[in-house]
Amino acid sequence: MGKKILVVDDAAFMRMMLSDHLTKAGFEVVGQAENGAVAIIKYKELRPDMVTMDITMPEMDGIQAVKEIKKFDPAARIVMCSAMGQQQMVMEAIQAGARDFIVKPFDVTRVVQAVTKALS
Amino acid sequence: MQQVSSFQLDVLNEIGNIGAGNAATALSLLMGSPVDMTLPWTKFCPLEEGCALLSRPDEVGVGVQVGLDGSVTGRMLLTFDEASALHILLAFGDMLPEKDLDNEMARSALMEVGNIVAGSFVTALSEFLKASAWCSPPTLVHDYFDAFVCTVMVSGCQDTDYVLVFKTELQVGGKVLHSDLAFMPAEDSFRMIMNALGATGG
Repeated sequence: MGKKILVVDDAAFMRMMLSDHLTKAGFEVVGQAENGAVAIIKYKELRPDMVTMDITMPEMDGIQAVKEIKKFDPAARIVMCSAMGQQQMVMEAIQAGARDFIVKPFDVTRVVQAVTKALS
Repeated sequence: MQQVSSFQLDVLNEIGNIGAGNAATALSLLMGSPVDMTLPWTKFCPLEEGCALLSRPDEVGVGVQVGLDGSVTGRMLLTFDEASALHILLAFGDMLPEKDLDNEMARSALMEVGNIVAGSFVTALSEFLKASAWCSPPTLVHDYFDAFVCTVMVSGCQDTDYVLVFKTELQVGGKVLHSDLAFMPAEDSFRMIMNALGATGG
C-alpha cells in the first residue's frame, strides 16, 4: 500500500495533475482540498502521511494552513507547491514547519523526489 | 497625461520579453509540448484606450484576470479569442478529457495558463524593481469581448488610470495564437515603476 497523500490546491486542474503524477509514482492520494480551511478539516479526518500544499489560495492560504496543521500534529509532513516569485512565502512556510517545496508547473521527477524525501 | 519615453517603453518591453521567455518554459512543462511566446509590441496608454485595444467587437473571447499583491499591486488580464482558447485546450491532449470552455477542468487549465503568463511577467517586473509581488488566485470569464474587457479592466482599479498592453503571440502545437496581456497597476505601484525607470511625468 502506498503512502497516503492529501493534495491541496485551489486549481482543480493542478490537483488533478499532481494526483495523477503521485498515483503513477505509487502513492495513494486519499483526498483533495481547494483551500487551507478545507485542508485542515481533511487532514484531521484522513490523517495522511503527507500533504502537498499550494500557497496562494482563497479563504485560507497555504502558510496559515501549515501553521494550523502543525499545531494539531507537530509531526505532520508537508511539502509546499509554489509558483515562481514566491521565495519569500516558501521561506515562511518552511519556518512554519513545511519540509520542502516544489515549483509549479510540476516536473514529475522533482515531485516524486520531494515527496519521497519528505516521507523518509 | 503621464508620458512614457520610448526608452522607458523599451525597458518595459524587455521586462515583458523576460516574462514571456519564462512563461514559455513553464507552459511547455505544463502542457508537455513546446510552447513559444513573443511580444510583437507594447503600448502604454490611458485605460479607455486600453479597453478599445483589447475589445474585439461582436467576438466571443476568454479572459483570465489575476490581482497583484505585495509591493506591486494592481490587476492583470489575459485575453484570447475563442478559437485560440480551444486550441490551447487541444494542446493539453489526454490530460484534459473535455475540451469545452464551459467544462470546469478545462476552465481551470486555462486559468492556470493565465496564472503562469501573469506570474511570469510579475516575477520579471519584481526582479527589476527588487521588490516582492505575487498573483492572487485567477478568475475566468467567457463572453463577448465587449461585455467583459472594459468591466474587468476598470473594476477594482479605481486608483488606476493607465494600462500597459502587451500584444502577445503564443506558438502552441504548430499554430500562432494572438492574445493580449493588460497590466493595470495601482497608482502607487505605477509611480514606483516610473521612478525605477527614471520617469519624471508629464
